Amino acid sequence: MSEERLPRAGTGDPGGDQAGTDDDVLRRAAREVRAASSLQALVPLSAAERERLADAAIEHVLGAAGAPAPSSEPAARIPAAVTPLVRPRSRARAVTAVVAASLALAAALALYVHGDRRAAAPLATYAMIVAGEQPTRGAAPHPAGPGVPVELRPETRLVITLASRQPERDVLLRLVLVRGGRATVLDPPVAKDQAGSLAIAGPAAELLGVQRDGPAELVVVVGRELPGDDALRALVLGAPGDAPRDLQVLRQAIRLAGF
Amino acid sequence: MESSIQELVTRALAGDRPALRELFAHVICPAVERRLAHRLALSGADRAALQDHVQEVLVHLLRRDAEVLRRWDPARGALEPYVAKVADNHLISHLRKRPPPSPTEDLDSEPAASASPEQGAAFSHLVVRLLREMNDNDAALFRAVYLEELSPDEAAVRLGITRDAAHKRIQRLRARLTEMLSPPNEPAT
Repeated sequence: MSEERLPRAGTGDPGGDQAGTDDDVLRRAAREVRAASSLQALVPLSAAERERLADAAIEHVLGAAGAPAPSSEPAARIPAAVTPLVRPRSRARAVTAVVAASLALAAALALYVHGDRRAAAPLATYAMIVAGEQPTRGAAPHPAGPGVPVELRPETRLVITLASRQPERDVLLRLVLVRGGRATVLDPPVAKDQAGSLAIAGPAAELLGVQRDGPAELVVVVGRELPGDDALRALVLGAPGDAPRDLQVLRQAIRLAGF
Repeated sequence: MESSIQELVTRALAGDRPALRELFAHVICPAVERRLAHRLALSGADRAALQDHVQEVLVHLLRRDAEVLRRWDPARGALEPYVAKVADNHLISHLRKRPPPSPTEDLDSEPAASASPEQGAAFSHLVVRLLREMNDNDAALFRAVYLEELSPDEAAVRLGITRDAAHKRIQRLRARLTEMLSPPNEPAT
């Protein structure tokens, strides 16, 4: 890679394109991010916004700045505070829906550290339906019985639905693509309907990313608490009987073509 | 750099309020923000939601005699990864407490959908798609270079990667977006 091909280091042009013009697609993408109201979370906060957040947090826990300053002795600790955070902005309610939607995706993105807590009630049994190029095919909620592979082309609308007779309120899922002995954890958006069914849907190319043609397997892991990525990969690559009782591992064979 | 941060933390925990403000506003807040920004943006969360989450993490670090902040051990690593982990845990904890999300009317709808002209909307769609493809590290680099407008070298230092790695990742992201912009029957160059 030649130096000329690298982004320029000046703050005025952090990512100039190879020709040195200002039509770098990433710069254009950044402008798009700044302009899109729904992507504002990616735009850095200003120094003033950060200071306001810091002040609000400190005041919330320690009290107003006019309060007596803590001693400089190391033993002089910050007083404890147990009251819930009072959000300083009135917009909080207005964004509730957005936050709820964000959490739906974050449920799929969350990197769960395996927790100690286990709910007493057993997890409801989920069934997975994978719809692809062929008519809808069911996948047994058991690893045994992969069924006929679902054909997927890049443009195929892939729909993975998980349903249960008694849907769980706090169930989480992760999607893993297994092929050639390798497991790739995917982070697609997950939607939940009023009946409690979970769904992942979108063009196969978007959900699966860049792939080669050939057989593969879609594996969904469902649970109230999910393991981290490494444990998740080990789980889906392991023997069927290795799955902890509080997790369900649902599998569906697929065949990729035209990728 | 890290030694100065360590000193700042020590002063803050010893009761130096200006140091505490400096630490939270200029060190911890940006670190939390960087950690949460990509994930929240992908979900369509707005700026207010980002601020809510950041503030909740800051309060969590300070609560109960700054118990969580005091657990940071400089001997085991820098402050930013520690704070990032706290932010991760916050998000996880938040998820556990929240009710299930409202049903989505259109599973394919993009959070960045706007009323812009067709071409702009298509590009917006591609940007969201690229963001979804990015891992956290690539997203942090993109954000640092193109939104915070750090130089790639500065971003590399912040992210703890080499300058070459930063440049290669940027090139790869650029190539990927260019490929997305290319017509399907016209391979990107």
